[in-house]
Amino acid sequence: MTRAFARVVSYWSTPIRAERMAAFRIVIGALVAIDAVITILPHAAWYLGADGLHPEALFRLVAEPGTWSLVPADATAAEARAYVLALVAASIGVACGLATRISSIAMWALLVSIHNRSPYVLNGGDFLLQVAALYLVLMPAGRAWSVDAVVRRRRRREASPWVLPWPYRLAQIQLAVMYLFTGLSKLPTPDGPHVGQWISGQALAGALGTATMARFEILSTIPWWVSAPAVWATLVWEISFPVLLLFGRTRAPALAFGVLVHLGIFATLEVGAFSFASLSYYVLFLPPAWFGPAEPPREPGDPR
Amino acid sequence: MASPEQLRRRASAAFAAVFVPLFLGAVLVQNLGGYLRRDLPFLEEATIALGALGAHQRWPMFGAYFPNHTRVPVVRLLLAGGTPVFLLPVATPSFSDELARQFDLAATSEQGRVAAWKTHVGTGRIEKLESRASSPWRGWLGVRTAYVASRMRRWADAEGVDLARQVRAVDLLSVKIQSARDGAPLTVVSIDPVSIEPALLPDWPAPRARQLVSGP
Repeated sequence: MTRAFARVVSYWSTPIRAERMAAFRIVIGALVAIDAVITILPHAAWYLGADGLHPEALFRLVAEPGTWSLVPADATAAEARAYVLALVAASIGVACGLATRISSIAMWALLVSIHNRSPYVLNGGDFLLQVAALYLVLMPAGRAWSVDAVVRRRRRREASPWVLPWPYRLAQIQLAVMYLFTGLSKLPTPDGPHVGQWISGQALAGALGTATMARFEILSTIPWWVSAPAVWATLVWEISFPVLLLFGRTRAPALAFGVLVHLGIFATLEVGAFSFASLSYYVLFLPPAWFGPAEPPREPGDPR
Repeated sequence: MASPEQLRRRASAAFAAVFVPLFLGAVLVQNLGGYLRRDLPFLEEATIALGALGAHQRWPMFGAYFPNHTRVPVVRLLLAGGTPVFLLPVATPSFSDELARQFDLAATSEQGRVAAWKTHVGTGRIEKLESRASSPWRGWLGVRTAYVASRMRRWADAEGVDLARQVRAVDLLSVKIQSARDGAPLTVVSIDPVSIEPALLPDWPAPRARQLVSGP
């Protein structure tokens, strides 16, 4: 019991290399910038403008509690584009580690604002990116691999490469929570009409036959029983993901399976940035040894 | 005397000691509430807090029972001269001219009309929008109305049409397409009118009280 408690305390408090947060920062910043340029900017006026999909009257009617947006309800087309371009600039700043904390706050505020102004075009990937932006606000993610770090080094004001891990741990847990509840939602309910497409093994065939989402017509010719093993494996993997992460021996196979699942989803289904948003969290699980020494040196007054 | 680095770490640890349990608790409550589909203690507070932080927990894309059909929206305008105009979906399956003409037969259950498959690349957001805008679910009334208004405006801007003067009536049709299985073609099984509510939008661009039909 004491050992388990010590491990939990160590998990939350033992400093980790700043490069691990930097890797997450670079991937998320780049993904937000690319997604904004490709999928939001061309339709900025439609998604965000006063004559667009979510005018003020609807925003007031359907906005969920706590929801807010910096994008004004009466934004012109030019203003709508300016907000998206500001998001692109902030996310490039995040990826480069330029004024990292300020860029992170700007990216988070603009991403949430733009998403809240256009809630009808969002998918799970957007929510993952929003939460990632929040975690980056909390992380000292500019300590390494950043313009900020270069500037500090030139001024001889280098900060320690070891940082407290708690925002990083929150992001890791977020991925596990996402998979767990996504998996649980696929199980049949007691009052459901039948066992459902996941238990019957027909979920993938159903998705690949969906006219609005499947990328290619030919995928609809795959018989359900061919894809059924992948359906069951995915269900088991999602629900057991948090447990699989706990053990060194199962962690790598669980993550490798996840990479295959997301690449498979990307190849066959048009679900926006969901696949890449999910995969960007996998950076959080790369081996610590890839980023430098695994254990921080002991210092006098170290909070450990 | 503590160094600036040590002071920074102490401040971060103190903040984490308060923030982490509260945040993780909110995350678990909202996820559990969504999964169990019922109110839990502090669910409302968790929803407000996570909404303010932009940390809403909404993951399930395919639940246990997803339908074996999809729907796509078609906006039907009746011009002042009596000519119908159909604004077809932006990103979802395309329709033959013959089928497009048949949209005028809304609310029939006529079967066997074939829609052409469209290869989807980079259109996820618009497909998501059109899926919601064609749903007859009461909760998407606002989406349907805003979609119709914005589609009309975009069409009118492109065609140089004055919606207030030249449009007599507006309608939204939901085209129900059977999902393809075993290589079968996409089949339109019904074209149903679905309701919109112009009164929701103060700047509704067309005549207000002239819908062709009203749906559920």
